[in-house]
Amino acid sequence: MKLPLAARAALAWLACLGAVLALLPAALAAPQDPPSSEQIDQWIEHARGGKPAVRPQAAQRLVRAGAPAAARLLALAGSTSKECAALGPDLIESFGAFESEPLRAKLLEALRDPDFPWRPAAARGLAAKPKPAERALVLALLEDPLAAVRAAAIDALRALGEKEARDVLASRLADEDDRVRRRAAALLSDWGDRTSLAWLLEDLARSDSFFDRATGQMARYEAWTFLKTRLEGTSRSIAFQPQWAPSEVQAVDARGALAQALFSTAKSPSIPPLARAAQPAIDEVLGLELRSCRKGEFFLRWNSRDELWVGLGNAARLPLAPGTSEKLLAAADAAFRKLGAERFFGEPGCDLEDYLWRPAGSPRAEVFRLSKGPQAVQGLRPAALQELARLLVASLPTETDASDPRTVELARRVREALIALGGELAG
Amino acid sequence: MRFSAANPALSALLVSAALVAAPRDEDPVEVDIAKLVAITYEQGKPLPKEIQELDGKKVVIRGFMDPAQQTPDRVSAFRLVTDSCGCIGKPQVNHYVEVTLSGIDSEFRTNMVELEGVLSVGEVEEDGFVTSIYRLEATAIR
Repeated sequence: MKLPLAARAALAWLACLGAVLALLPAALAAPQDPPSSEQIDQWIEHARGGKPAVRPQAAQRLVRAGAPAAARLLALAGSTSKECAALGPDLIESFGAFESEPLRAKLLEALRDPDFPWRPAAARGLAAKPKPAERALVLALLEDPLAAVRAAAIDALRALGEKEARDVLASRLADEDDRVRRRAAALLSDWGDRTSLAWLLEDLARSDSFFDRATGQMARYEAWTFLKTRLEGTSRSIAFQPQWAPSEVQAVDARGALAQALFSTAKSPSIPPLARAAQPAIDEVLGLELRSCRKGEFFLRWNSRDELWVGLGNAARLPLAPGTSEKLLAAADAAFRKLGAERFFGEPGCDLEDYLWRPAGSPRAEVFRLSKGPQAVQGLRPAALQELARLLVASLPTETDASDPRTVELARRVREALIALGGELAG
Repeated sequence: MRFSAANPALSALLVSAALVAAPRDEDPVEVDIAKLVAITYEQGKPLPKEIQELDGKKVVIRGFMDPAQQTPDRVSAFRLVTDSCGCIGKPQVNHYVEVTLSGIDSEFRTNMVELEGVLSVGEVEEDGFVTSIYRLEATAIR
């Protein structure tokens, strides 16, 4: 019997489909070939020195490769902290995802070493799969000097389901870093404390900036990401756009509706001053931004009214001795004139020491930057900035408000960060 | 029919038609880098609709050159980021815009920059790794 062309085509198609379906279970069940040692080494190189976006993807492939990759990483991690650090943050973080006790021991060792440069990555590695036996370490990390480590410790608490630690977690609602506060608020809410959502709601009203950086806007986006997922699946469908300026009518209305929906009142619970969405008129002229992978982050601003402002968001105001601003601004002006067109010193790396300068009338701040990798670099800070750095530290009050963590022991902490970044200070 | 510039009505009609037909110098859309960065990105999953709609658009965007690429040389390509440091978490592929300067170059800038150009949105892969989801061919840097 001769079938029409269309029928023959249909039969051929069905035959192909049958063959594919017959082979599918075998294909799915067949174990994939383990990657070769060359392939593992290639992924390690990608994870260590590839493009920033590639590094975590390559590390993930190593984790999927399992034992052979773990063995290779363990060999490369060597026996010293320096050898281990040379693997870079993405591989250090991946240690926590392997089922390998020796790699886990390396991860914990890195976390306990205050001089290890990739402790935030190690903390994220721990948070991926924390073990009950690591509970005490996780709780200790909630008090770590590095905000990124504290944030990861909150993620670890979530993974452990450590609801008994609710009180310790609640203390993080007064953390000096807003990203830590938001994580704490989100987790407390998930554990049943709805009032903590007030911290996220407050962030939706932020419009602060640090020189040209829209820090309030970034806070609004992150807070809304946390908040909207906690409203999904409920009847609280409220339109809010984080790009709306907080003073716009639609933004004000949306926040009011959110407060009503979350707290059954137009006013949300009281939150501490450092977490409030105030936008003081700082009129910053001179700034110092420090990002040390060992000593933490500091955001300091001076204006021409003998005031120092500490931190982001609702910054803490510290009055200075009369004449301090005039002296500092003159020193800054002289230092920056000496530097001329030069704007950075050192090499790209995780450690940054930025001097920001916006004299009256300047549309944008100028940024003079020192940067380096995890290793100390002698003489990194140019002579023109040495005297300025010394004067800035000298201007920091030694007695500060103990209720605001951003100002506690500020002079000592900033001095230590400066030394870790640009080297010893003059004088 | 021969066109005569002496006929003002016909001239106006033809000029109007030419203006409609010719590609207009599109006004750039102001794009907030914080909005790009804030998406929840999962490899292989569709990007949010409002982000996809930016693909091919002429945009103005502000941000900072990634300090990890700091160099004393002039640059014709760099990553644009929101902040001087990704210090709180692991940098992800949605945390930057891969910028190529078209017909211009620049010194490496430590302060905020404003760029104008055409934005491309979507995953680009190299060796099986996603290397970018936002790319900007910038024709102006301020």
